[in-house]
Amino acid sequence: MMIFRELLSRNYKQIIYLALFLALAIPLVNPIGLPVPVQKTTMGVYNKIESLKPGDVAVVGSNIGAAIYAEVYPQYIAILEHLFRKEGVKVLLVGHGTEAPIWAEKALNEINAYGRKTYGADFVHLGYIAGEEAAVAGLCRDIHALLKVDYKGRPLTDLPMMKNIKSAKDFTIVMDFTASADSQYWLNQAYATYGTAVGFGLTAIKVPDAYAYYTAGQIFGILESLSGAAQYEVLIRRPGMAAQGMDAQSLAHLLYIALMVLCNAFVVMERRVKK
Amino acid sequence: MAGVWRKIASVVLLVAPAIILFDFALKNPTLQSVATDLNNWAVVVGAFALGIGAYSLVLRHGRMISKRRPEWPYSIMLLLTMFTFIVTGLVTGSITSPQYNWIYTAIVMPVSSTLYGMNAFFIASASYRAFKAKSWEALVLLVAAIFLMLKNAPIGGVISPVLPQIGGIIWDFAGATGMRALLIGIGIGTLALGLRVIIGQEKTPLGGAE
Repeated sequence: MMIFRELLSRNYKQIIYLALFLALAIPLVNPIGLPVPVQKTTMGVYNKIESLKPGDVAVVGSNIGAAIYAEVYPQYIAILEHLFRKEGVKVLLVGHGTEAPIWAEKALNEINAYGRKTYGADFVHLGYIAGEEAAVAGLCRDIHALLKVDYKGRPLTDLPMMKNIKSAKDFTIVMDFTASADSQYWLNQAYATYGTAVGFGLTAIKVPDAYAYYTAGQIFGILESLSGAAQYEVLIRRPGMAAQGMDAQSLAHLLYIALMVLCNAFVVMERRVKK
Repeated sequence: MAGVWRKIASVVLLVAPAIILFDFALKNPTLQSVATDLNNWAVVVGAFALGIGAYSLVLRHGRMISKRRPEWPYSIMLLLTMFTFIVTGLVTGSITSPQYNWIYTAIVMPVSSTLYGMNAFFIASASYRAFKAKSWEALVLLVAAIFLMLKNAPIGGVISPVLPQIGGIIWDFAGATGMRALLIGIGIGTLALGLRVIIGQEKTPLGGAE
């Protein structure tokens, strides 16, 4: 034990980094296939989307960036897939993050949205809107007063779906994907003002903020990081990159716990030696 | 002259939020139309702010390059990357064009994800160095952290179904309540700040408190 401690104290970074690399890489190459239990927050999102009827409008906030895509993009894909399976549900994609349109188009192509549904009648992509919360407030107040064209420059008046969608009063649900404080925007502007049902797909670090709103019944559900995406993939029976990553995440968590225990074991040993 | 501008700004800061606030309370079509216009102006100002951001970036890094300040080659890289994206976007006419997409997927995506992914290694190193239970409070935090990790990863349930349940109890009762108290505090603080701005007591938006 002492020799190990000596070795770790001299080269702890190299040893820990190597151990983490192996903990992440081995399950990705050789999956263990751990079961993925579904949490109530994920179930909340699934049930809400399942309850949508033809004609209902789902707004999808596409605030994904390159830095967070590993956590949030699998959630985004799973939700879009589920929404596109629902017959007659209208999907409106919008983002207030500068990279949003890139990820929205990438996801639409990945689920073959343009081949499965009619653009303009079943779904519309509004693109990026500057102005942060003011942009969300503008969308909720009057979309047509804020925007005249969609992401590709087509007039909104030419898109049949947009004729019946004017403000947040016409949104059935909002599902916002983000990693920053902007998740609050839809809660402030759509839920608090118009009573629109709001749910989130978030990075792990943002979940504690949103969870307080979930327990208060103000949001219908949360997809929590990669595990939320994996659970959703299980629910819609579409295994993807999130489910593959869960084994690696499990082993990494075990390694973190082992390191914490080891660190404290050494502290106890040091105290005994001093005594 | 500065005093006049400050007075005009104070009036704008009083009138604009008041219109938005009254619009929530009263269902008046004229008020609603004015409030919508005000909100849309804020969106336009937000879009302009992006342009100003780009301008100040060019100015600052241009100065760093011309004066050969430390690490000036990084400024060249930054400006070069920025203009490559701007030109590609303008020439191809879209940020989802294959050319723009290629630069984004080949450079931005791997670099950003690598930087973000490196956090996992820093956390691993920190969990060895920093999570020392030197007091009872620290021990409670440490144990709670372990249960929460076992709640979030499927391995917790595989080891024992009780582990995620304990994590869930900590999450529901300690985590959510603590966070709610914080959020209520932030909400009250924001309300107080908003009221101070409206009644002219907050000088920061007018160019800094004296």
